[in-house]
Amino acid sequence: MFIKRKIYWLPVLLCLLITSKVFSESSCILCHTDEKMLTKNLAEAKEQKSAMQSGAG
Amino acid sequence: MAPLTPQEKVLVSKEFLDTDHGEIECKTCHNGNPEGRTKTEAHQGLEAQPSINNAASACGECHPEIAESVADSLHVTLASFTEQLKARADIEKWEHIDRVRQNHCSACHTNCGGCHVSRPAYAKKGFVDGHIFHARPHSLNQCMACHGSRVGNEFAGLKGQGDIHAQKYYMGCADCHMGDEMHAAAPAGIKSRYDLKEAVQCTDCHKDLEYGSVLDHAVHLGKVQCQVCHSQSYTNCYSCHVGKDDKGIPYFQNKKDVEAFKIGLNPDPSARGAAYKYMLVRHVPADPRAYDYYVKEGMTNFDKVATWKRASPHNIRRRTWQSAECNNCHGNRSLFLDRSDLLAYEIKANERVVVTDRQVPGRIAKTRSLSINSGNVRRDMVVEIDWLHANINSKNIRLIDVRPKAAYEAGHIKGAVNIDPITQLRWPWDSAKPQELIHPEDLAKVFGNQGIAQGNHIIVYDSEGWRAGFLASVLIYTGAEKVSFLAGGLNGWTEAGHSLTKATPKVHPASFETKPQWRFIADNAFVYNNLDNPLTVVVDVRTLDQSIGVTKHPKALRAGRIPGSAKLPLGSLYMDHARPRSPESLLWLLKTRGITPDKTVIVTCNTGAGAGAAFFMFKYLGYPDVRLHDAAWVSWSSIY
Repeated sequence: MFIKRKIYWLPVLLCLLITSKVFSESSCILCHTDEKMLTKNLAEAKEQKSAMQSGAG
Repeated sequence: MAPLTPQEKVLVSKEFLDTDHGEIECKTCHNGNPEGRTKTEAHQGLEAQPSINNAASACGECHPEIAESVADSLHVTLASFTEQLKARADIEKWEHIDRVRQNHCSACHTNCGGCHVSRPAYAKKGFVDGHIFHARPHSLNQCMACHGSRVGNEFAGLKGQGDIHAQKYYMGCADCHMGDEMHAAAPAGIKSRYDLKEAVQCTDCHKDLEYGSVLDHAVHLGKVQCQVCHSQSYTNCYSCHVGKDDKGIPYFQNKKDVEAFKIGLNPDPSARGAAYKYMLVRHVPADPRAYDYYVKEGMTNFDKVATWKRASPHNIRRRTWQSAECNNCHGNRSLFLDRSDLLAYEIKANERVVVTDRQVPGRIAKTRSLSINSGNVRRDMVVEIDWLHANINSKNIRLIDVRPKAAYEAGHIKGAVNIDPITQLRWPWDSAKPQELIHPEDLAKVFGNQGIAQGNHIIVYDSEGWRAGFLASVLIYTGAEKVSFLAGGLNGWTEAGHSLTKATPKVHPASFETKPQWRFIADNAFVYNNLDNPLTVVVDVRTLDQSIGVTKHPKALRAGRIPGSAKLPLGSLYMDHARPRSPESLLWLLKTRGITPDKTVIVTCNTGAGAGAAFFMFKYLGYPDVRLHDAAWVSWSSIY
């Protein structure tokens, strides 16, 4: 009985540990460390450069 | 500096989370809403650039002293620029002029983040290293992102040979310009960055020169600025105008830029670190009508500030053409700023800087000999604008515009056909031999289809020089009998007042009989087998950042260079706007670098194009055995 309960609670504890670690990180970290998601969601910003600009600057 | 993708700009590395800054909650610096589950929610109240808008609390919390002084530093306030502007301005109209300054000129100011974590806002931002903070700014991604068109290009060898501090000692900007200088608060009313007491000076490292072994130091100290002897030519910009286009987007227009070298008189020897009579002067793009779009006659005091300004080009060499022989400087009127160098509106402004004939140091009667043999220079391989204008209708002349097709179609010299050597003469990237030259028979077909025969006098031109030089080398390799390079290229042609056309000439295909000069091409095996040959020298003409392995061509498998190769950026051979440097100065330079005509010279670069441009210059200088490293570093790095 004791062994059965131990086997049952171990994955639950592990899950809790993992999820608590994930949720302790802010959404900032979750998003800004996920390259795939950033690639999917970010578009190339249109360059705000005038066609009249010329020279080295 | 390669552009960053949108995701690269904001991607935080896992390594950052283990750093001191990574342990700080994002919200502490950036505000926003970390509990938000959508981008909109999370970015509510976000401060993307905390150091720009809120440095005192974002950075000052932990770095209070630095944050306090940086707020008044030149990188943040651009105070010396504002002072120069005020000195020229009608102060009654300062409100308008200051608006221009804020809209245009102040776009490149920065703060902590632009030097220590991201590319500056002016360079379109983005993390340099996954949000990791570095105490030393990254020269290419941060310093040169703003200081690029002049300082950066000169330092890295996009113009000239590059700087000896980078080439020999692999130094970056922060090796000289350290925190004490960068973080220093500028005193009120500071007129020049040189006046900052923390600003670095050559003599901070190169001490006690008067007692050293170099006699010229003792002779010239207190008379000339270090750069007069130790710099190369540099970029001078003219006449900047600003405005807004019909969409309301601000723009600037520089009328022209010129690579030149001018020595002026020092108007204020009492200024910090300026106890000398002669100094280098660089033309700044100031113009009395620069701000006319916003306010008319705003620069009523334009004459108060010189437009030829004290300069410290970042292209230092121990030995230079002007120090090679006394009379390269002494008595050389063209090296000193003359009244005839000035535009009509800037004569008064530069009265104290211009060097009169009497002030040019006299020639030295007895000097050491340079011992340069320029007798083998093939001067007919370079033609001048006037020559082309006079001979353009000659029956045997064939003119090739070597620029990309779109540029050719926008306007070219009448009669010119278009060949793009980058795309038309090499195997494509996705082939078995990427970037290697196609077979000479196929090259001959490309030329023949454009009406070019091997016996024509073929003139090549472009805007920058290297493309035309590359095509010239391929023509020579294929067997063309007479190829010339148009000195000054397209810019020189239009500046001389000659017109352009959009009309494509009627081409009669010709037979180009190929006589391949196989010995002009070096493959990887030839280069490898000659690495230890004392009679062979490999010349790497890439920019210094590539040849010292800091950056690489995007298609190269790794950064680096061929062992033992000489670092000689292509800008050493060509000036801006497709002007070859003088043969005498080049022969001297090459001699000082051990690249002499008695050796087999193998020129190499990234893909072979720059090497081709160098190959042409070596043939022009009369080097008998020159070889072009085909496909160059992108090929070499895939094997060795």
